[in-house]
Amino acid sequence: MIDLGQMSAGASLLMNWTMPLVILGGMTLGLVIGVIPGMTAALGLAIVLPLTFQMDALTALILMTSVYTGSLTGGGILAILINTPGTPGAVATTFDGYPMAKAGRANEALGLQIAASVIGGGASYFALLLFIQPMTDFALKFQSAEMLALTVFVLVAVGVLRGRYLLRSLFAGAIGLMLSTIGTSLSTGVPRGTFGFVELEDGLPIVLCVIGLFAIPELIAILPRKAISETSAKFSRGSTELLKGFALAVRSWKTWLSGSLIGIGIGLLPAAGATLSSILSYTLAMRGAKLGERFGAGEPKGVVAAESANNASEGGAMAILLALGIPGSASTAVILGAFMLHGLVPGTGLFRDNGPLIYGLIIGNLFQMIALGFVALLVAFFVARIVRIPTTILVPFLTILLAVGAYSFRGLMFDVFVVFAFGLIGWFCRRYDFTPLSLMIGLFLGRQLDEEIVRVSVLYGDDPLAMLERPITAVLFAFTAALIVYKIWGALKPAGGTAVPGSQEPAP
Amino acid sequence: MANESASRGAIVGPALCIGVAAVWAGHYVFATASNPDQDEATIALILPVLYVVVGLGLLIVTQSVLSTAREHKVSNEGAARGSHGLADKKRLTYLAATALYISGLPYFGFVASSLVFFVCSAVLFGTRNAAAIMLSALLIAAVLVGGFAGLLGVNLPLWPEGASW
Repeated sequence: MIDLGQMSAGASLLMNWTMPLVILGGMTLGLVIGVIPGMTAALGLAIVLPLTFQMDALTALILMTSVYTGSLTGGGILAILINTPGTPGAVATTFDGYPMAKAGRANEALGLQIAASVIGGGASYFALLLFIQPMTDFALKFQSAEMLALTVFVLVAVGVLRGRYLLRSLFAGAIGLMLSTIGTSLSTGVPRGTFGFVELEDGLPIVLCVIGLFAIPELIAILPRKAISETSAKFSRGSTELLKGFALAVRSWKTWLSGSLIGIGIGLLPAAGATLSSILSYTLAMRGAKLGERFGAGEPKGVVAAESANNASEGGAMAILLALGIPGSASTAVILGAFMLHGLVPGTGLFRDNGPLIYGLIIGNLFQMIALGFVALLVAFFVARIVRIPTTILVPFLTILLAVGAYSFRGLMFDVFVVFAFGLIGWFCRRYDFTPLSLMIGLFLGRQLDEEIVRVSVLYGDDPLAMLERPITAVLFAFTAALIVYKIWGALKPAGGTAVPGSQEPAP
Repeated sequence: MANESASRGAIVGPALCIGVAAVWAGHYVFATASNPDQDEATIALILPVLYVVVGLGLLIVTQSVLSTAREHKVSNEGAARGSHGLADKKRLTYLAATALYISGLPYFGFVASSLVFFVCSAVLFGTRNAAAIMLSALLIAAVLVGGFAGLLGVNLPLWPEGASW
């Protein structure tokens, strides 16, 4: 499974003085980009890519992955401080991270988030080092039928376990699916629902839609408050609280272990690995909650579950990129560009021809996780003060950053309007309990599902039940049916039954 | 009286959202289906999802009407929601100011629009600390010009002349 000779050759490639500087510089840049609402990891990577022209392949790839790792963690910091996931995978981090910040425990939440990120990311790269081949074999089993079953399962799971109203949650998910298909159909090349806007021909900018969906409603919501955190707790012990959170996360080993395993497994799925894994990890932790643990209201284990899975999905995404050359997101697509730029073609031949370089990259990524712990704690220590800034200053300031970030995404003023339009949609979703999270999942999975459903109808059009002969599909549909039965059973039971802690919290 | 209006709000609000979403979804699917270039694959996903949207929409409205008639609990819920609604002076001000801001961006560029938006919003929201407003405005200008345009190399239309769609 592991080639020790190639691994030691890879490790020796890292032994030069520039590597630590590249890792620290890339990580800091990634963290800064991650904490700016609207700025995405993909944009950060695109900015860095031209800087790597003069570098050797390994240094360039280490720089790119450092920016990527930093921005993912920065997205989690933003999720905790202003309830806005800087990256889609950080959505579940808001569920408990933001309530902690509002209660004056922002530093503790950041400590938890950073430790969980380091552990999850480290675990996934370690797994990648050991099991890259079996991991990619498992990913290849997810074909059209499995993706369809997974999408249905996730939408129902979110509706049952998070939303107060299952029907409204499913409605939001269905609208998300439709919105995601706006643009030119990938199967037929026919433009759909563009209203004549050429900017929509490539589809909606999903990342910006998600940011608008969560950021604008939150800005509207916090306006009447003096600051995000109105508690009188002093911030003088910020570093102590950060370290306290860090230590607490390390002690919650069952939570981060299951989160990491989920992240590593689900992270292999293209497009929405991080998002799905963090949500599944969170819901699993919520289902296993003990008495007194209040998920959705500032439970530290909720942050650990979400963030460990979010960052653990990184290794899975990298496995698919290295072994199959499939980028699971815009960010990994830019990293794929960096591979190509340096004459490396991801795929089956990559390991055979460049074994030491790939092992060097994976070991370098493991070192990044150690550096991430220190750099992220430092950045979080300063950024955490945001929760004390008066909202009368903070809200207009963040609105401007959102507008700039949205424009920067593709250099189109149209995208600024998209962010704010989705902000209004998000506000109405929150107000009337149409779970925004379901809308977001629909947005993420719809485009891929649009392609898959054509294949499903060709393969199983005459006999849809034949899909159940595929084991993974059958298991996923069985879980979906079990969830629906659980929901109906819960609705029929008299009040005062066994409610899942946190499941009755307002949808985030 | 207040209870009645809250009950109405608990039905009308979601019903309106569902109505708007369903009309858009219907228009989207039928406009696509009537495109002469399309084939079955173009609407393979969106047509069944439209049926789901309409079906769920009807179920949600029915559920809201039934639960409102049966329980009368919504009055409290609605009253509680009222405090979080858009009928708040600051929130309405924010929405109006933001709409003006993003409408002005293509014509006045990021620097002028952002500074005017920031100063006006901060004052309208109740900030009276002139020094804080000035310092923040300076920071915004520095972030836009130095950070985004200078350091990160983002090609922002900073000034009115550079504004483009």
